[in-house]
Amino acid sequence: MSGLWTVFSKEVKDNLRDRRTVLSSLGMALLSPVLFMWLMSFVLEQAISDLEESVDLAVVGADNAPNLMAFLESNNVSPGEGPEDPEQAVKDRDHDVVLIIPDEYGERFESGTPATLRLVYDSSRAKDSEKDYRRVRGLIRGYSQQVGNLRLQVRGINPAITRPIQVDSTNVASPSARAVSLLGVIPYFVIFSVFMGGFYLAIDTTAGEREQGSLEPLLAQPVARATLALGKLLATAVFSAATLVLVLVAFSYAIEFVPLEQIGMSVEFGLDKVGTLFLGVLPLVLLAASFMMIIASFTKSFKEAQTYLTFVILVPTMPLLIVAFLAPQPQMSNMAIPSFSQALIINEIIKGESIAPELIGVSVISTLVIGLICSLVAIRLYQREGMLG
Amino acid sequence: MIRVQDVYKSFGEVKAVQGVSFEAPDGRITGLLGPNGAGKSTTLRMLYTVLRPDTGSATIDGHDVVNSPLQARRAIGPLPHGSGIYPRLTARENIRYYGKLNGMSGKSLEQRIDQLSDMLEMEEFMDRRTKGFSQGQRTKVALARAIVHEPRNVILDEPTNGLDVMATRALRDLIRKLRDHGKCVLFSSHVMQEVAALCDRIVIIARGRVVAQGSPDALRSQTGKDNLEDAFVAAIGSEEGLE
Repeated sequence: MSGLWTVFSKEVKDNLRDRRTVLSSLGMALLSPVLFMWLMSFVLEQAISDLEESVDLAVVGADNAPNLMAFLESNNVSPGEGPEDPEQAVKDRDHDVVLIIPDEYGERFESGTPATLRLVYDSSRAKDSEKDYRRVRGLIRGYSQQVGNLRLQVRGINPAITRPIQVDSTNVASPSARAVSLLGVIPYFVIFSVFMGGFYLAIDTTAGEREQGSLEPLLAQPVARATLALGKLLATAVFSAATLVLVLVAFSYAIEFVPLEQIGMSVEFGLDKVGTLFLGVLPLVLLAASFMMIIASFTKSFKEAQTYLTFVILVPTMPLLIVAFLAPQPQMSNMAIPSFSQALIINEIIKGESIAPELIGVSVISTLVIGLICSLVAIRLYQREGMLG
Repeated sequence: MIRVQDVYKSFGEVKAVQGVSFEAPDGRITGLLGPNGAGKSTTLRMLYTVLRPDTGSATIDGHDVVNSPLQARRAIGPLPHGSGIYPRLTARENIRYYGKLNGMSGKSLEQRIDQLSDMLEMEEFMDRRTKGFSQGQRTKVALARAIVHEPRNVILDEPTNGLDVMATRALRDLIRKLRDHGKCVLFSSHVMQEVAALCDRIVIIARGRVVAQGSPDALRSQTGKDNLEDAFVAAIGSEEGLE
């Protein structure tokens, strides 16, 4: 094993000087949390504003219905002076919605015949006019139902009799649900960073070294090939682990800037969780490094290795989007899958839920075993003559 | 002392080396001369153990390249064809890396590096990263790296390729110096004049076989030609691949 430290430290030093390697590690570490934070804040802001935004409503003939006006005001709608020509005003975008209350409203209301109100809006302006229109119409319906119920009760009739069917809808795509599912993207970013951190080292120490002609003299040095391969593998794994730490720390800072508590959610991603998360994902580091080294060993040049690897690392990372959107529960079967099980661990930890220790054990052991097998294969490949290409 | 005995090596259908035998004694410069594709590089690659011979054997100072490759490697300073150096490391770091791989360290290693830097006139670029070095500068670094551990045997595969006149002269001087220090120097070339100018012994290889070997004088008398080039052509039986 003599020479292992020499090879390892040379690869670390050499690659720290490589702008590509450092950028792909740091870039991953800093960009993904920033991107995530921005997305998250955007979605949350929408969720919060949809609930609280007040609507300015132009009303023609507000004096005809003071009770209705009071009801609207108590529901965060501020009635204002109506325009001369409501239709033209909405067309010209002077107003988003105009409510017209005819003079006979009070008379009809009192006599118990349906009092007609008119709403003028523009359905082509979905963002403002259409949205406000729905809100106001909903409120007026609510008011109408309230008054209707009162009238029935006064006559001794249960208002429920007028509603043979009641529909309750739950919109799972509500803005806050979207925000929750966005959190599921974190494991994807974290696992992807494990691969990206070692990406260029895996190539540089195999195909890259062969391409620049430094592999042949290196193999002629009095150091066992297995030692050379192991030193390079360890350097790759260390870069991958370092990127993992950076990404976790960056995420734990970024997440503090997301106003999650405003939708009543809490995320367990403080600095104290970074250590736990790191240990949960660490077994994957060896597997990622050796897996990429195996692929790179078969390629002839740096470019070729880059092309293949970019494609191949989609295999372990793409299924993680399933975690984001389907949110499967950790089980014996899925915790045996490397990369997938680490994603589940991250997911459960940041949601503040606990996972059975035996499930974590399955994840750690299966990932380490597969990682060791891949490492042996990578080292074995380094020993064949074809390595020189 | 390098000894090669009836070595064969094929790559699939291609029979690269078909029974090569020769000796390269200490204190002598032995030239492996042959046209392109004759099997020179393959032979040398087996000597510095990156390839295994199919049959036959080779020893370096008595260490078999197949059975005890680590000892054999320790005894040689290899300069493979187109030997690459690490562009993000300085010349000094490149040389130091190989010193450490050969078990050197500390003060003695640094002293040896300075000594090589003097000998090869590298002071000027010793502490610059090697990216952007000229071919001559790169060859100097690769050579210094190859002999940093003072090996008894030096194997150079086409070392003068791509070098200008001055760099070639400097390299020849160095090769003679190594010989005068009692080293065994084995180098390959497809350039007749170069081998003639430098070698004490010549081994001519063609189509994977040794077709003639001996001192330049012996070769001339063997083939009955006065001129070494004619002797070479007579030995390999054609002018194919000559320069």
